[in-house]
Amino acid sequence: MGNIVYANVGKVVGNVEVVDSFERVRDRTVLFDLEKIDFVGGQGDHRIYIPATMIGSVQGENVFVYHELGLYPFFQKAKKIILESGVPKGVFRLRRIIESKKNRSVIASDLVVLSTVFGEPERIVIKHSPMEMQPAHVIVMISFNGGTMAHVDYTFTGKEYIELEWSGIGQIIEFNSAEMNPMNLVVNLPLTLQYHVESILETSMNQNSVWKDFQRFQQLVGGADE
Amino acid sequence: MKIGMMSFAHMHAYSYAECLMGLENVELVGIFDDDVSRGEKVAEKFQTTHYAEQQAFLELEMDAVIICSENVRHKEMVFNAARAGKHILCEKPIATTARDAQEMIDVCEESDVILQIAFPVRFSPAIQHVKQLIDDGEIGEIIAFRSTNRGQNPGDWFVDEKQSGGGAVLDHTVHMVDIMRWYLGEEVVKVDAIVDSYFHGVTIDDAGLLTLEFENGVIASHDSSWSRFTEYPTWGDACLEVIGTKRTIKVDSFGEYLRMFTSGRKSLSHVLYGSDMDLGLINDFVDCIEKGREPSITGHDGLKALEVALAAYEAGEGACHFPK
Repeated sequence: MGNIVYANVGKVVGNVEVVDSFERVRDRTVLFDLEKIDFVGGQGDHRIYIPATMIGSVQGENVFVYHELGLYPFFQKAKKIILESGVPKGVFRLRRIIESKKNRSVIASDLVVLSTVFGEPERIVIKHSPMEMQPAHVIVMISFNGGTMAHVDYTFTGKEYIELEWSGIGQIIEFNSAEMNPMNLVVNLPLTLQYHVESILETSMNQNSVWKDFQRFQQLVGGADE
Repeated sequence: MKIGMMSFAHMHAYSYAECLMGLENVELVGIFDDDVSRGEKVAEKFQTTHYAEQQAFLELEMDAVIICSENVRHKEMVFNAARAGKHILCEKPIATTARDAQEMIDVCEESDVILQIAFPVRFSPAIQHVKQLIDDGEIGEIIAFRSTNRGQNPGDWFVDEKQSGGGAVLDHTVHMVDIMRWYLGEEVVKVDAIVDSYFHGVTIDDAGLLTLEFENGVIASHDSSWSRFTEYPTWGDACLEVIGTKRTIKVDSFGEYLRMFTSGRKSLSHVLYGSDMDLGLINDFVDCIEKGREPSITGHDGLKALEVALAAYEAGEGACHFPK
């Protein structure tokens, strides 16, 4: 039994082969490049790993879902620090520029991840830029029941970029994927926005167990994109 | 030109006084402050005369006053100065209620004196450069803003609602809303907000997030929190990201600084070397009086920015809509 991981392969690091057919899976972990495939599926009893943005695109007991934001090493470290002081209280701001067209599933996936840090959202306000204007911009304002207020701002265009700011009690955390990059490559993706394939395998949850929760967050951000 | 200062309750008064002292064509003729101890100290520092009585101060022969009192006293001082025929630069926020602000605007019009509101961020060269880029069409149509004006808790009367009228949201919303209005030429029509108190154990708000919608559909997010502590490298920030159809630009009003590391508890400090926004504000005020022109930042600008901050408090439990 192998692991089929559907991912943006440019973001995934680890000793894993990128394949383009099920015949090459065998009993190991392989990557299928989401940028190059027409459909998501599986074969035999292989485990299938998909990003939350593709939830529901394949059915079965062996389907596992991962949330990209939660995979980034910077986010995992920030989460650990924030939670070290108990129930977090403060102001959280996340800025994302995403290299795709407007995608509410990305927002829903992020909210699932943020709720694992700050608790249940008590109040959400969503603002969308006018539909006729490009790039699309979305502002999400959230009040979490743990005592944190948050803004998450998305622009769906251009080079991938993430900025994180946490203002807690006597603690400030800042991250900027452009500035805190250990290596400047003339490519689209900074090293700071890569994650390990092992992280996907370790953190993914069975689709059946996350489906309902994800649907709830997707409804909060206005439903699935047409 | 003769200018006097009314109250040093607000710390910006010290900077404005320094600016006045550096202008060759301006004389700081006196300081009114009914905190006698403070008034005497600052009068000595700035080599001028202290007045403990407002009336005696306003009888001085002078062209203008700069008001830096507690927020709740702006109205009283603007009324007295206007009726004494003095042009006025009033510290922000213009007032603690929209009604007071309108009455202040009205009394200045009736008295034929200039009322300018102290929004020095408008005089940041970086902020002005972005304004030029917008006007030249370099950013395209504006789609959204993302802004911050975070800082330390100023303490003292700022955390006393009776004197300040509000905490971080009132203190740190008006600057960036003013810039957004200036860039767009549009008014805010809807305010959603979360207002709370987390950081300093005070009853007044010290944390606030605002989500705004302008009449042309532009949306904005803003953080107005007093979330910086003294060990943080700088007192705070005034940053704005402008998302346009052609490009996105980030502007940091305090972006010109050296990183200075020293041994001790606060190891990193940002040492500003950029141009002085306060001096830009004071120069503009003086120029405005000399030329008898409309101020760059009017009482109406102060009122519109204030309305957004006040709406944020109302919006704690739901969106606040402005009538069109």
